[in-house]
Amino acid sequence: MTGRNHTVLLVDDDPDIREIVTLVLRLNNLSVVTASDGVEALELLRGAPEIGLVLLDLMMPRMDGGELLRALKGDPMLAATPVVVMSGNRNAAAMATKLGADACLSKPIEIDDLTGIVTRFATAETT
Amino acid sequence: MLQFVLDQLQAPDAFLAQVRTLYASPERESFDVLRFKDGRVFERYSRPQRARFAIIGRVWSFRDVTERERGPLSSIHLAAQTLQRTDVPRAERQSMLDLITREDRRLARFVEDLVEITNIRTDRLRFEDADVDLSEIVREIASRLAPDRARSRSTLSIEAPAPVVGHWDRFRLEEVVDNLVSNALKFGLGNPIEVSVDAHDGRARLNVADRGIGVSPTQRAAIFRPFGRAVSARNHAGLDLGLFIVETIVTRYGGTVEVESRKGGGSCFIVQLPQARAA
Repeated sequence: MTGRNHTVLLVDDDPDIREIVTLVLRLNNLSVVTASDGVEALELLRGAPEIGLVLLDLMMPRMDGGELLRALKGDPMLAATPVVVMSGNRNAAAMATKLGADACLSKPIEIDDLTGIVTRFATAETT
Repeated sequence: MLQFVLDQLQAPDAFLAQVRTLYASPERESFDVLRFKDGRVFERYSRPQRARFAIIGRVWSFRDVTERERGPLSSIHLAAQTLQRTDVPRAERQSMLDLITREDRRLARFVEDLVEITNIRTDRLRFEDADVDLSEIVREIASRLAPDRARSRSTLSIEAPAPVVGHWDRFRLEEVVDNLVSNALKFGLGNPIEVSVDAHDGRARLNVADRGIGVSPTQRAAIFRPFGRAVSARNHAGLDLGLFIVETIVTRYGGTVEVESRKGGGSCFIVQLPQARAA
């Protein structure tokens, strides 16, 4: 099986989370771009069609994760982009569903969960 | 409303007892950290609402600080698991070790603040006074904060030409200096920070000046409250208790802490402390 890796957009206001998740994904041969809030993320998404997955923190300044999800779902060009929510809330799975996200990762994040979920969404099989 | 909150708390009885105490003492200011059953952590602050001289109600503020705990835990967790791989290149390995060290300090700060807030709230802040030199403490804290200084890109100059000895608790004075310098690094926009120590007429004076975002007159009262913060700070450590702790300690010694600041023109925090043992 051959695969084509999409770019992952990581949105989190914590620079240390951005650093470690980027390191982990790059070690798994994935391409990563980062944004520190929803406003930056929307700009990147509108200018970079190669982004195939959004990893999204919920609590951020300016535009939080919920607001970004609503903006994505309301934009026909971006509505189909899969979004995985990252949250420290024990009810993260229910919250992710309610917000219209495709999946969720609970913080503290397990590395197998991270790589598994990213492989599932960001690696598209070529024909 | 109250029942809705109580149902979600890990320790509802303790919170209910606090609410009852506060409504029996309308003039009291109060603060706490609440843990919810779903894992969230909230800062809680409450103060009387006044109209002229009369108390007409109570203002409650809650802020979700879960990420201050879960963020560093997540980073450490991911880095530690990745470091078990044998194929991590040397540079990435070092980045992860540096990150673990940083996050360990953020977590330690969070835990220290939790302990400190309980101590202040229950009036159990301990002071073991002895002769200590404020100039030496400033130099030591500056050295301890070297990693934060490097990350902030601010330079730090110290003018403390002579020992300034007073009868204080060394650990508490370290907290005062650490909080003020950390604050300057956090909000100093990478510009130079100047710290000076001197003494006049039996009073020690510590100035910590930055050229950062400054504090507007309307924000001045808020920054000295527990959990008070003028602006949103990313990658925050602890519980926004810094300036509240500074004021609590300084006031305990009969001293003062003031801020001279203009929005956009930087801040200068001025602490004055009597050097002699309190009568």
